[in-house]
Amino acid sequence: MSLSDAGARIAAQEARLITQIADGNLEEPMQELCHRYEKSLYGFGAHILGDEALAEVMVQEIFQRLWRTAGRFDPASDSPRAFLFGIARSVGAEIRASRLAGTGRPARESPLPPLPDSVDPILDALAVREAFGTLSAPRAEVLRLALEDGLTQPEIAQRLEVPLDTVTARTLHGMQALRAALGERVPGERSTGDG
Amino acid sequence: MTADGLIDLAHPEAADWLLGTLEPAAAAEFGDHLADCGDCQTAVAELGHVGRVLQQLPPAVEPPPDLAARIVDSVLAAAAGDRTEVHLPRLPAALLAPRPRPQAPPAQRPLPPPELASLYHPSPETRHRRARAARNDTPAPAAGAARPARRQRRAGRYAIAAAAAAAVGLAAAIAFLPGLAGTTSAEAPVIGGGTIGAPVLIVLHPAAGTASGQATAWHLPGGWSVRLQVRGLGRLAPGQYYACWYAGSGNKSRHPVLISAGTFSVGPSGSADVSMWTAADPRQFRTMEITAESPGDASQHGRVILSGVART
Repeated sequence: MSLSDAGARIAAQEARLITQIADGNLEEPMQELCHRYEKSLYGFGAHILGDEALAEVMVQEIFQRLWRTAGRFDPASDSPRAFLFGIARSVGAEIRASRLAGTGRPARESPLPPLPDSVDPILDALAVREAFGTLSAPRAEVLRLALEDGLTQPEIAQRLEVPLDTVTARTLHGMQALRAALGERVPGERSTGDG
Repeated sequence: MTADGLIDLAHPEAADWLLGTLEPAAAAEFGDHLADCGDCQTAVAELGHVGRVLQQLPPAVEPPPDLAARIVDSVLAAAAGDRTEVHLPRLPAALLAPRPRPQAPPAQRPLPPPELASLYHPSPETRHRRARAARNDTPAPAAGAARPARRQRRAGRYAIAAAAAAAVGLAAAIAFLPGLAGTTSAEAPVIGGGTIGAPVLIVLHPAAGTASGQATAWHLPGGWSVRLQVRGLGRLAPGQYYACWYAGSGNKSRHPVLISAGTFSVGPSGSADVSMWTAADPRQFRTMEITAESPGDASQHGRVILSGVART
C-alpha cells in the first residue's frame, strides 16, 4: 500500500470518529483522537503561545470545541486534521488576543513569541516530527545520526558498519517518506506548493 | 510523487547537503557537482523542502502524560453537566463590581442560564459585545493606579452576570475576561493590575471507587475562580450536597485547616461541570477535597471522596 493510500485510510477513520462524536458517542472516539493529536496540538500551542501551561489549556479547549462543533464536520469535504487545526488556530488566536489585551502593552513588548507570517512552517515541522515515528528503524536511525549528531553519510556508514550506498538509500527513502507526510498535511488548506 | 528509485542514483553528498552535514568547503564543492549531476539535482529538487524542515525542527515538547485522560474526562463531564444543577456560592465584592462600560452593559438585559453551548458559540452580537468589553477592560500599564473608579450599580444583576461568566470557566477566561497575562505558570500572577496568571491545575483522585475529576483555578482580582469537573460521583440522599474544600498543610480532623470552595450537586450521571469562587489560594491551600455534606454548621463532616494536590 502506498503512503497516500494509508493517509486516506487514516483520514477516513478519523472522519468516522468525529461523526461518532457528533452523534453523542463521546468517550472512545475522544480518547482515540486525543491519543492521535494531543502531541501535535500541544506542540503547536507551545510554539505559538510560548508557554506550555497555556498550550495545555489550549489543547483542552480544542477538544471541548471539537465536541461542540463536531456536527458541523462534513466528512465529504473536510479533512479531520484540517478541522482540528482550524479549531486550534482560532483557540490559539483567542488566547493570544486576550493575553495581549490583558497586558495593555503594545504587541512588540508582548511576552508572546512573534507569530510567524504563516503557521505553515510550524505545521510542517509537526507533520515531519509525527511522521518520523512511522519510519522504519533503519531509516530513522540514519536520519537521527545525521540530524542530531551531525554525522555525514560516510561517518554513518562507518559507525553502523553498513555500505555507504545503503546508508544513502535509507536516508533518501526516509526523507521521501517524510515528504509524503508533508504533502498530506492538512489537505484542503492552501497548498504547500510541493505536494 | 516521483517514482521511487530515481533518487537512488543520487550521490551520498546529496544526502549530506540536504541534511546540512557538509562542511562549508565540501558544500561548495557539492554546489559545483550539482550543476552537472542530474541525479543529484532530482534528489535536491524532490527533497529540498523536507530537508529544510528537518534541519529546523523545533525542540520537541511533550504533553503531560495524563492530559488525554483529563481532556476526555472534562468533555464527558461537560456533556453530562449540561443538565447539572449549579449552586453558586456568594460572590465576593471584586466580581460584583461592574467594570466601567460607556454603553449599555450587557447585564441590563436578562441573561440566559449559564449553559456552556451558547457561550462557546456566541452569536455575532455577543461576540461583538465581548470584544467591546475586552477593549474597555484593558487595564492601564501602571498596575491599578490608572484604573477608572468602579461604579457600584445594579450589583445584583452583575452578580448574575459574574456568576454566568464564572460558570463558563475556560471559555470565559479566554473570551470574556480582560486577558490572560501571566507569562509562565511559574511566575506569580499580577494582583490588582487586572491581569490573570496561568491557571493552577488540580487533578482529583478517588479515595475509593471510580470517581474522578479535575479543577482549574484562575486567579482573578479578589480571589480564585475554580472550574470543577467531576465524574462518577454517587447520588446523594435528599438534602445532601457535595462540598469542595481547600486544605492547607497540617490539616487534620482535630485541627482543620480548611476553606470551603463551594457546594454542588451532580446529575443522574454522577457528573458535574461547575464553576465556584473562593478566596483560598490553591498555591497555599494545595489540597482539594470533595466531600458529601448535609446542611449544618458549614464545616467538614463527610469523608473525603475525591482529593488532589495543586500543581504549582
